[in-house]
Amino acid sequence: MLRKLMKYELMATARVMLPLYLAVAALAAAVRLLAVWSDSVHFESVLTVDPVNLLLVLVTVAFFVAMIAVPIAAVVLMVLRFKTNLLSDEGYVMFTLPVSPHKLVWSKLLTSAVWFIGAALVDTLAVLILAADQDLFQGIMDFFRSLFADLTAYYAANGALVIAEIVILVLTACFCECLEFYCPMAIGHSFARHKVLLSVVFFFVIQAVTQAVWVCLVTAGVPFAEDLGTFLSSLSPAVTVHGTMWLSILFCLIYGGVLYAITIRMLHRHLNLE
Amino acid sequence: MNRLECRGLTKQFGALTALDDVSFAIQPGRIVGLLGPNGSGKTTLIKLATGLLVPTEGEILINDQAPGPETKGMVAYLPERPSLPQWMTVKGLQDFYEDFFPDFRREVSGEMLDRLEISPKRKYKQLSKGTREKVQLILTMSRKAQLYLLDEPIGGVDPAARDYILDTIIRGYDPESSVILSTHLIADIERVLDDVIFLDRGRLTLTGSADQVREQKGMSIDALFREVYRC
Amino acid sequence: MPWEFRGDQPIYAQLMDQLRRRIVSGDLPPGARLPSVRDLAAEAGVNPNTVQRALAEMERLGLVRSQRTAGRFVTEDEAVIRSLRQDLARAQMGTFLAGMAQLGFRREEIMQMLEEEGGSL
Repeated sequence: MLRKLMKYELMATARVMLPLYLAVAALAAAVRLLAVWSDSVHFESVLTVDPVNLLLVLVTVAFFVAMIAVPIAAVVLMVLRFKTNLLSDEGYVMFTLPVSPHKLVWSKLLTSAVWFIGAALVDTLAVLILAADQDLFQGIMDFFRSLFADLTAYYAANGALVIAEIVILVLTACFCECLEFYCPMAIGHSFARHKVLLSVVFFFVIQAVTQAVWVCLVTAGVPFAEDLGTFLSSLSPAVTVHGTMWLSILFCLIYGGVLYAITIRMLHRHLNLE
Repeated sequence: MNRLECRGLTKQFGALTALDDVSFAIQPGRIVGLLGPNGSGKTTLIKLATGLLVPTEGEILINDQAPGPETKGMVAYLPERPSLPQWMTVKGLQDFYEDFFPDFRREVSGEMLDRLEISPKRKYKQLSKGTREKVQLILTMSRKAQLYLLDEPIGGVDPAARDYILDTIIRGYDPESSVILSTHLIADIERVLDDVIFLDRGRLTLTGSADQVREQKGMSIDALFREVYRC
Repeated sequence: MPWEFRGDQPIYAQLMDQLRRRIVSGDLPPGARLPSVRDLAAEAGVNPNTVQRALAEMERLGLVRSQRTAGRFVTEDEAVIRSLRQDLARAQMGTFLAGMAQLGFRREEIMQMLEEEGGSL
């Protein structure tokens, strides 16, 4: 059932995201081609402005706008989908499908993660299209190879494991990012009126509470700072690296877990579709 | 086993009591009218049966089970307003129903769409409101569910469409299935009902077979309703 | 003959009445196959269980018989149909005469009017 939900979620969102991805890649290619053309062609013209150059500038601006727009679009789309599909009229159908609310939320989390990561990849690809040549490629490969070697040698950390940890951390962070919006929306929409306003309010409330918790934790840890410092420097580099990664993942899981639990409870017991 | 059963079902929204200690049971093969004026708790009751709401007190059971993913597979729900995903085509919606509901009979839906000359290629959001309602009705009634919950299926619908809806319900009749129709437009549908349930401000005021009520009270269900709810 | 129902009487009884009329009038001739419960319910716009009850009752009264898989058929017993015809006619006449009496007509007047109006039958 989760796979089916994801299928429809991807279909619904691909209609927006894929054209954007294509646009960014196309614009990158356009900039590259125009740059080449601009270099090799000189217009002897009455005009003071070189038309090719002008076009190049315009397309470059469009490209940068698109590059920024893609990740923003992914976030905005994520928020809108949650609202339209689960908290508006469509919710009448979605919440009466023979699936648990968990699957409904996870289909959205996973799909959003796909588009977030996709946005990062597409932007990277666009930069590569723009600037890539044989030397750059070689340079990048060399850079990563040496990074890997350094990690393994100096920190005695397992390079492959670090990559896996990064992937997990990225995914967990994506889910947390989504839940930071889903949770206040689920709470706000459980009220009869001012649903959107209350969602926004609860968004900031949750942000504030999270900050407050952090401050408390840090202040509580201050007396132990010196002991903690001594302990940390006694650790081997490998443990430090992996430890940091897993600690970060753990924090994300706890934070995300709390938000997830609240979201599910709101959707299951306090759903208030109009 | 009762298709639907309520025991002391109560639902409160803060200070407002939408349903108050409602108890009744519906057996397979019955077409039941859930009747009452606006605000009497009909929609709340249906939402409780579909799992969109949870009871404050008491319980509601479908085939002796509490509402959950399993019961949602047994229940075909037609909400009051068109609520299908807007971006899909009619064919896409058929795929959707087929994917999630094993009891969906695609051929039946295809026939009904044909007869109403609704092309599967049309986009749902391009259809008129009336056609959208019909599409949702067709998809819902094309399921071979054990319990159909139709929330105000004929409200705001022209007489021809109303007849079509009632005809669909009659032709879809199955001795294993039950249908619960909620409405405040009783005169139009009372001939189709086996049993009636009257709700007034969240309370159950009358249950019984329609013909029995007609015999006992010597009047139509509609007339009785007007008398009972006279302001 | 379109199906007409009043809300203030049990539907199954009205259904039986209308079916009886159709049998007597020849709309449903002796031995004719009745539509299925579902078709009859859809045609008349009434609940299928109600139709089932009406047909079961008519079977009990001998007006209709059922053949297991083939469906239900109007009786071919002419005597039964004749007797039904008489019953319906008497009931109709009873209503007519009661109505005329309410209007203040006496027997002779009624007979005379029948002679005059009877020509249009």
